[in-house]
Amino acid sequence: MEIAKPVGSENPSDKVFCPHCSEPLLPGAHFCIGCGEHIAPEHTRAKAQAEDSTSPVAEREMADMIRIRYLPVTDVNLKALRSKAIAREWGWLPVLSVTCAIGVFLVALAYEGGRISAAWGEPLFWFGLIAIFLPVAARLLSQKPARRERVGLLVVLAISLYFVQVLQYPLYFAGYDEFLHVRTAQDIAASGHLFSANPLLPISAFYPGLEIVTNALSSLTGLSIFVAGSVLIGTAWLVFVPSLYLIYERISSSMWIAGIATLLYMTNPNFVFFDSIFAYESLALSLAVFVLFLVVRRGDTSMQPRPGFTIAAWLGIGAVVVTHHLTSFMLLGFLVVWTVVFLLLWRAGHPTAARRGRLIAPSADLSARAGLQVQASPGGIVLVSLVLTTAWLVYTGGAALAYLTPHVTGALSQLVQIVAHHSQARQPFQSTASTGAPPWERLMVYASLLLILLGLPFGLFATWRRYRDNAFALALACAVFAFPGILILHLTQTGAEVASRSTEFLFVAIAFVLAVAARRFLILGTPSWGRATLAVYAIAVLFVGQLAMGAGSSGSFLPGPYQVSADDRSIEPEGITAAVWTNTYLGPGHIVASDRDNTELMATYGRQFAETSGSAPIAVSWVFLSAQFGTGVVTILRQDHIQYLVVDLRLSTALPETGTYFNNGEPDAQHYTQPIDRAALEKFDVVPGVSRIFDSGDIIIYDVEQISNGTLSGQPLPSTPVPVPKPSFPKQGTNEYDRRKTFPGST
Amino acid sequence: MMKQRYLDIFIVIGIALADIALALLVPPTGNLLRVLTLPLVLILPGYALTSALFSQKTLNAIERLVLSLGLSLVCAIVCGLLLNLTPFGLQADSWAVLSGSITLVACAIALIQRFQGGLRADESAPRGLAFTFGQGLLLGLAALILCGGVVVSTIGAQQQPRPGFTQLWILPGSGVSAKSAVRIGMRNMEQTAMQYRLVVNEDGKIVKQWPLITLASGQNWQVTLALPQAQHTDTSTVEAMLYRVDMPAAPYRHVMLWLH
Repeated sequence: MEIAKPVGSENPSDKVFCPHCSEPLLPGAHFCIGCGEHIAPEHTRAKAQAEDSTSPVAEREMADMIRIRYLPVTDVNLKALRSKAIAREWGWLPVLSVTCAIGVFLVALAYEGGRISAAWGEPLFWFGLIAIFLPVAARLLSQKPARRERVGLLVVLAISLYFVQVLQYPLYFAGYDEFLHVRTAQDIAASGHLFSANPLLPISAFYPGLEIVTNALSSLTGLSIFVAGSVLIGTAWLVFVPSLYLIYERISSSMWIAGIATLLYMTNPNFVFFDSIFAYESLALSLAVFVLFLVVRRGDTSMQPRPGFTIAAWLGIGAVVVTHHLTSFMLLGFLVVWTVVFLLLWRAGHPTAARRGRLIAPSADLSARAGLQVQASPGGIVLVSLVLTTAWLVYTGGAALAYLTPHVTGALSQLVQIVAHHSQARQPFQSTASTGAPPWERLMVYASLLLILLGLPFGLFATWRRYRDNAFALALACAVFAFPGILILHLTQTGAEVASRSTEFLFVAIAFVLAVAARRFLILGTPSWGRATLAVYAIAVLFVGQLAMGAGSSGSFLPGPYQVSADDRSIEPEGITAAVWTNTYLGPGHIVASDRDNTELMATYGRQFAETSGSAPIAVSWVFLSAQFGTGVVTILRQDHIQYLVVDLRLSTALPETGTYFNNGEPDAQHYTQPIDRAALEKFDVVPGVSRIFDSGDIIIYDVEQISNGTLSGQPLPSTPVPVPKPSFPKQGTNEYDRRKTFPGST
Repeated sequence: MMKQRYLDIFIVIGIALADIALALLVPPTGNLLRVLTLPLVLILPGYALTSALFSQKTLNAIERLVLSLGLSLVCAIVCGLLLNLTPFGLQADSWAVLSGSITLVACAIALIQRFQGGLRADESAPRGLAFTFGQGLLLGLAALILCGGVVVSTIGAQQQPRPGFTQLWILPGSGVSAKSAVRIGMRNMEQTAMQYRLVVNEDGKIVKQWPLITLASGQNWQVTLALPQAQHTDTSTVEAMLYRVDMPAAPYRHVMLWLH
């Protein structure tokens, strides 16, 4: 039996060197051991051997694998050697899986600390996160890991960070956005059909991709919507992270850049606690990245027949289009930018690319005439995306535009007012109810932003130098220029929401450009421990700072005791059981008005048609805020046909954490200086005809149907102002689609 | 060699058939066996479609995994839209039949392609994970610690200290007794067993009282109370006042119903 030995010792004159860093290469190597760069097959002598058609496929595959580990291809036992080679390629993955798991355990302990209001909860939380993130980051910054280890580490990191989100509230959905989609999922389960009206988020019913898959899982397995949804989002992450890595690897031809870029993507403010929640964007983002991977892979010239990728991409675009409006627009927008850049490069006949023989050409014929290779381009995919997105918009009556336009115009309007000194800029980290984020977190946020702003110019320069003939890379570079605009939008109240929701899309580009910058800094510069350590610190600051930025005004991720209008911290057993009581004893489908968080509970656990500012003709907040039960309140009750009011007396105990007590439409939103007067909340007790049917101490339910349907004739009421009616969203019954909508379980 | 060439497809067909049978024959609620149908949504359709669509390609393990999972999700969404157009709608049975059919048809296409030589045996065989014993041990340890985290968090959330509460409610009687009777109920959600006193008034006069009601934590109590005067007046109010035995002075809960 022949013993394997390093190839390099065979014959020094056979050595091939990396064109990027001049590191000696081993025959057949796909990646350089020195810089991690992709090596074109012509650089290695083994290519001819690998392409020998007489060689069995298994042997050729084995040969490729063995070469990666720099062992000679001999007649040794290929199977055993293959197993050993693969096992060795896992590198530090098993060890780092343990550190990640320990980090998750520490975070779980920190959450426990939060629940009992222990002071050690917050520091332990951050320590646990660092324990998850930093060792993996340090390893990925190294040039040693094989491709298998890099992908494995990224997947392990993603799974660990997903658990960080799931373990925050492991018994039920608690996020504000999650309830919005739970309602749609419940409606589908109840009716067996799509497009039932969702009072919490009407647009959700028009984009049911997330709820469709949840329904499939839930109805087939018998699991609850919570468990099915959690499994679904976890699976979506398993698609998302490797897809992103594969995209970056394809366009950069470097597994080092791909690994770092994917890692940097995970530092975006929404990755851990927003992209992982049960919301349509979480699934759509994964599918959009999956589609981009398919399109990039489709452009691979090494494979001739590619209808499989084309069909998969079409189906993927269709799935994105029916899952989330903004993601489908962003995907379409990026494909358009990519196409434009591609056409500009083609028209310009980029000299550098031509010299390198890598010019992008729209067809094989053209490129053959030009004597050039074909690279990835979106081609007809962009048209398919345009057609499907437009078709769904038309089918849904333009609901998405009606939903998104006020956000965008509101942000721009506020920005103009700030520039014209007509209003003040929003103060970041400020909360109406608490002191907001601690100073060290604010410092980290600013430091992380500074790092990004400093890194981007270098990254853009490096991208231009290295990828100026790659339309996809240049399209990413173009997208990066939106980042300063996004930062400016944070100065406005409405714009902050828009900016926050745009970050996860923009970071696909930012992460790539920063990774390219890091490559120049770490690999192409003089290698030193100092630089590597600095890079690890920088990534840690980026991760912590951006995560703190995603925390918003409350500045805390820990679960804990009840807080007023704090979304997840306001979801607790008293509210849940009150909502369940309404479903059990009143039946589903009644029109109910309440505050921000009880509205969600009533619409989901209670199965009621809970009124929001979006679904009601007049914002319901005035019913609760008005000091007197007068004509103004009665007008709202009648116009909105409200049957029950759910009053949470705790609203009078503190200012709202989110800045608002109700969904929208309240006059002092974000500017409250004192809590709601308790007398205003208790005013219904003395109104003739208003029954107080439920009392659990903090939560009172009133039956106001006799007032709202006008059957009660009694003493005259004091005159109180009536708020101006608002147009409801979406416009109901304006087209055939709206008329077909039903409301399951309505009484 | 011949067996290996089709092995993965036959495995997928086998699991798909088993899952379809499970979905159609085993009731969904309270049966853990139904969890085994999870692959019918999350992996099987995508794997089968990947095998059918990319039979002439050599996908590496990562790409195969991504395509299998991604296409499964995409397939589920498309299936949901199609099922919505049918009278059956999105139900467990219809999901099982449609998702299973897509898987089986895609498997059949993949088998035909492989039979025609579209794919060589070695190309279809997924590469193994090939962990050493030590590596497996470490990964097992990681999984164990992760499970520990889940247990800590779940128990912590279940036992989170919160203030207890008691629910009291009142509703009109059902049916013909809507105006002559009321339903009153309560539920003890305090941390311990509680003793209550319940007083019911109609238009200010006591019509019934329960001097001692003892409820264990989590226990319900309800009663339908016939009202003596309700049918003789146009409008009346029925009020229920709940007192804690250990704090008899102030009403603990208070509900009130207008009857017309």
